[in-house]
Amino acid sequence: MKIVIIGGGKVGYAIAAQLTHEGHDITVVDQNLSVAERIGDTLDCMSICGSGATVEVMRVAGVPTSDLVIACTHQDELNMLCCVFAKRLGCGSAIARVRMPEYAQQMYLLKDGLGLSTTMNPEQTAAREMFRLMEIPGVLKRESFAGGRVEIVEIICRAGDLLDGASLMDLPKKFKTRVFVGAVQRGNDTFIPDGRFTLRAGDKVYICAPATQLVHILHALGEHRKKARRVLLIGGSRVAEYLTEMLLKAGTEVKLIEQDKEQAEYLFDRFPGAQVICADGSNERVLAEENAESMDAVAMMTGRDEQNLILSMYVGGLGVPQLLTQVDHTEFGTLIQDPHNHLISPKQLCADEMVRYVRALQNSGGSSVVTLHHLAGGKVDALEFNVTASCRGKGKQLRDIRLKRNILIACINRMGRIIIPGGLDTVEVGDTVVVITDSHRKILDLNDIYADED
Amino acid sequence: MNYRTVINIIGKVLCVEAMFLLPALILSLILHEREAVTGILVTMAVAAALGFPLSRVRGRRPDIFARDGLVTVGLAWLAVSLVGALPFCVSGAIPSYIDALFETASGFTTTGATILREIESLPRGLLYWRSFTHWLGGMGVLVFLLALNPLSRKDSGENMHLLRAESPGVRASKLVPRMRDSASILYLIYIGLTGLEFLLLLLGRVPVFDSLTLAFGTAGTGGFTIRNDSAASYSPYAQWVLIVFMFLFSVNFNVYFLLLMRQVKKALRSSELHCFAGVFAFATLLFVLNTRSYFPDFWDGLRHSAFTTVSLMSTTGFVTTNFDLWPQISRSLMILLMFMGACAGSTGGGMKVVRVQLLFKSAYRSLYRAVHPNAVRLVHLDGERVDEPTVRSVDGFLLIYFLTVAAAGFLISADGFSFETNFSAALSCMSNVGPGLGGVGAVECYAGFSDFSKLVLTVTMLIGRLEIYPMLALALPGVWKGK
Repeated sequence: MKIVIIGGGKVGYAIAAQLTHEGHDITVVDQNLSVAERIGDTLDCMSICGSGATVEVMRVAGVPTSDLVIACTHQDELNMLCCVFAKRLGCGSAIARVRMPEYAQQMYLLKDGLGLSTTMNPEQTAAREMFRLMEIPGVLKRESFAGGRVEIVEIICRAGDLLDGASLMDLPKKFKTRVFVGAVQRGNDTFIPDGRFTLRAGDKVYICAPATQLVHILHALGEHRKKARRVLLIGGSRVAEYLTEMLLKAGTEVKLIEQDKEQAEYLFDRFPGAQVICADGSNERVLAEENAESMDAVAMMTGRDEQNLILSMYVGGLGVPQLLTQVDHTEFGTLIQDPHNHLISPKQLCADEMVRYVRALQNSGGSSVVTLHHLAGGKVDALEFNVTASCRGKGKQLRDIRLKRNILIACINRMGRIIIPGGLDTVEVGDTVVVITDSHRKILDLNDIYADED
Repeated sequence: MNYRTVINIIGKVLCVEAMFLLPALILSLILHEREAVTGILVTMAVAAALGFPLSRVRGRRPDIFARDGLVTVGLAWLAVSLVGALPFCVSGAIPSYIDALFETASGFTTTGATILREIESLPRGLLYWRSFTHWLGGMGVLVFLLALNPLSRKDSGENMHLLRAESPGVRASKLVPRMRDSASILYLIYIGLTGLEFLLLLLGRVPVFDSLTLAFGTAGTGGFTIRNDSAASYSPYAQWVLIVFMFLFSVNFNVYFLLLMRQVKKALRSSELHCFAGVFAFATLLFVLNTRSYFPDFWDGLRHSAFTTVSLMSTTGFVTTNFDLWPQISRSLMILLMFMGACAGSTGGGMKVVRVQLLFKSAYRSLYRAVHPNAVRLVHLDGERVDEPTVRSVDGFLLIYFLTVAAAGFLISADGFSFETNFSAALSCMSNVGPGLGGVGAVECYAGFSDFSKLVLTVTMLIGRLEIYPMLALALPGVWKGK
C-alpha cells in the first residue's frame, strides 16, 4: 500500500519503521531537513523535506494516489488540516493524531466533517494499556481479543508452580479447565509449542483464555491479587490525565504528584476526586511522605525516560507490587529485570495500532484482521480474523485440517461463546478466530494459515 | 565495523560475477575457443569458491552505517576487478596479471583505457566479457544486487548507504520509496535503452557481435570496442547512433523515470540537463569551426566533432578520428570536457555537471561577498536551496579530485613520458574517459607504462568511478579498527 506519513517525530518514525517492515511503500514528510535525512538514511522509505500541510509538498509526496495518509506532527490542528487537504486531493483514508484531551472528547463531532477515517492518540492508548494492566495485576502483559472476551496474558513460570515441568497436554487436567498456551519465550528463543512441549521454570508463557476463566487460572497459579485500589501517579503528563480519568471512573484511589504548580492546579480542577500533590516526584522524601511504598501500583510518567526508569527501580525496591513506566526508547527496557515493571511506550503502541489498521484496510475484501497483537517482544503475532464464507477450513473438524508450521488456532469466538479448541471443534462462518503465528510470516487472510493441499 | 555483513555482501557480489561470466563461457564454447573456455571456467570456479562460502556468513546485526557502506563498495569493486581479470590472464590472452587487472578495472570503472595494441585477435568470449564489464560497472554491481534484493532484510533502510556509495552524484536519491523498486527501475531503464541501441545498430547492418559490444560500451559509457581503430570503421549511421546514445546515457536517469511517469515538463526542467546540452552544443560548434581544414565535407566535420565532444563529455572514449592532431584550442577544450564529465545519476564519470554548476555558483558567491561583505547569499539550484554542507562538500570534492590527479600524474612520471601524456592519462583515468592526449592519445594505448604506473592508474580509475570516498575510506586507518 502507498502510505504517506506527515511528521517524522517519535511517533511518525515508529509508525514508518513498523510499516516499512510490513512491506509498504512509505513516504515521510518532515519540515526539518536533518530529520528527513535521518529517516531516508535509516529506513527503506522515501523522505521529503517540506511542510506537509501545503498542497505542493503533498503532490510531490504522492498524496493524491496514496491509500492512506497519517498526520502525526506535533500540532493537533495541523494534523487535522493535513487530513482535510489530503482528503480533498483524493487520498484513500486519512488518520490524524489528536492528543489534546479537550479535542479527544469532541472528536466524534469532527471525524465526519474532516473526513477522518480514525484518529490516534498515543497518550490515550498508553493510558488505556496501563489501566488494563492495573485491572489484573500479576500478569506481565495482557492483550484482548473478541471485544475483551478473550485475553492472552503473559506470565512467568516459577519453580514449583503448576506450570513448571508440565507438558502442555496435561495443563487442562491441572487447571481443571481448558488452557491454551500460544507461545513460550525461553531466554532468547521463542517457541510456538505443540502438545508435547514441556514448560520449565523461567519461561515466559503466553496463555490464551476466556476472560471469565482468567481469574481462576491466575488463582491456581498463585499469581492472582486483587486489582489495584490505591495508585500513585508521578508526573502529571497527558498520559496521567487520561489514566486518572479512567481510574477514577473505576473507583480507584488516585494520588498524583506534579511539580509544576499551574499544571497541578489544572489537574485538581479537572479531577476533584483525585489527591493532587504539588512536589518533585523524583525526590525520595516526597515519595516517603506520600507513602509510595504502600501503594498497589505506581506509574512513572515524568516525561523523561531516564528519570522514569530510575524512579521505577527505586520504587520497585520499596516493594510496590506493580510498576508502570512510560518510556520512549524501548531499547533501554533491557535494563529492567523486574518482571512486574511494565514498560509502556506510547509511540510503539501507536505504531502497533497503525499496523493493525493497515492490515485490516489491506484485505477488507476477504477474512479481515480484526485485532493484531505482538507477543514475545514482537517475535510472535496473535491475530483475530472474521471467518467469512471464503474460508477454506470452515465446517471441518480441526483434527482433519493441516495448518502451516508454527501456526496455531488459539480460540474460537462463536456469538460471544468462547471455545478453546480441541480436535473435534470446527470453525464456522460468522465466528472470529485468534491465530498465533511467528511474526516474520505475514498473514493477511485466514486462508493463509492452511497448509496447501497436495 | 560490521565485518560479517560486509563479507556477506562481497560474497554475494562474487557470486553474481560468476553468474555473469556464464554467457561469455557459452559463447566461447560455441566458437571452440579452448583457452578462453579454460580461463573463464577457472574464473567462475574461483569466484564461486570464494563467493559462496563468504555469502554464507550471516551478519549478527543487520545494520549498515555510512562507514560500512563505503568500505563494502570499495572492497566489492576491488574484489570484482581482481577476480574479473583472471580470464584474460589464465587464457593467456593478456599474459601479465597486472595488465589484465588494468584492463578489467578499466572495464568495470567504464574507463575504456586499454593496454592492448592488438584487440581483434582476442577470443570472442573474452571480448564479450571485456565489453560486458562496462555494462555491469556502468550502473553498478551493488545496485544490481539491490535490484535482485537478496541483500535487504525487510527493514534495512541502511542499504541506502550502499546505493549512495556506488552511484555517482552529489546525493543519490531514490525514485520510489522502496530501495529494491528504485534499483529495479534504474536497471529496467538501463536494459531498455541498451536494447534499443542494440536494435538500432543492427538496423544499420552492424554485425550482431559488434552491435552488442558497442551497446555495452555505450551503455556503461565505457569505451571498449572490438576493433583496433575503436569506432572509426563503422558507418556514419552507426556513428550517429552512438552519438545519440552516448548523450542519452550521460543524462541523469531520473529524467527517464519522470518521462516514464509522464511528467515531461518536470523532466525537461532540470538545469543540469540544460547545462550539459549547452556545453555539448558549444563544444561541437567550436570543434567544427576549429577543424574546418581537416574535414572538407561539412557533415563529416560535424559528425566527428559531435562524436568527439559527446564521447569525452559522457566519458565514453570511443574514437572516430585522431582528435589528438586537432589544433591546440580544441585539445585544451577536450581536457576541460574530460574534467567536467556527465550528469549526476548517469553512467558517466568525471566531476559531474551538477558539481561544476555548484562550483561556479559558489565561486560567484565568494566574489559577490568580497564586494558586499554583509550580503545574504544562498546557493540555489533548480529553484531549490542547496544547503551549506552540500556546497562545502562539493568544494572538498574538487580539491580531492585535483589532488588525486596530481598525485597519480606525478607517480607515473617516472616512466619518462611527457608532462602532457602523464597528466592527461591521470585525468582521463580519474574521469573514466579512456584516451588522453599525447602518448595516450586517441590512437595510442597504455601499454607503454610500467607495471607500477599501471597499478597507480588502476587505483585512480577505481577512485574516479566510485567518486573518491569508498576507495579512500579503505585507506583510512581508523575505519578498520571500527573507530
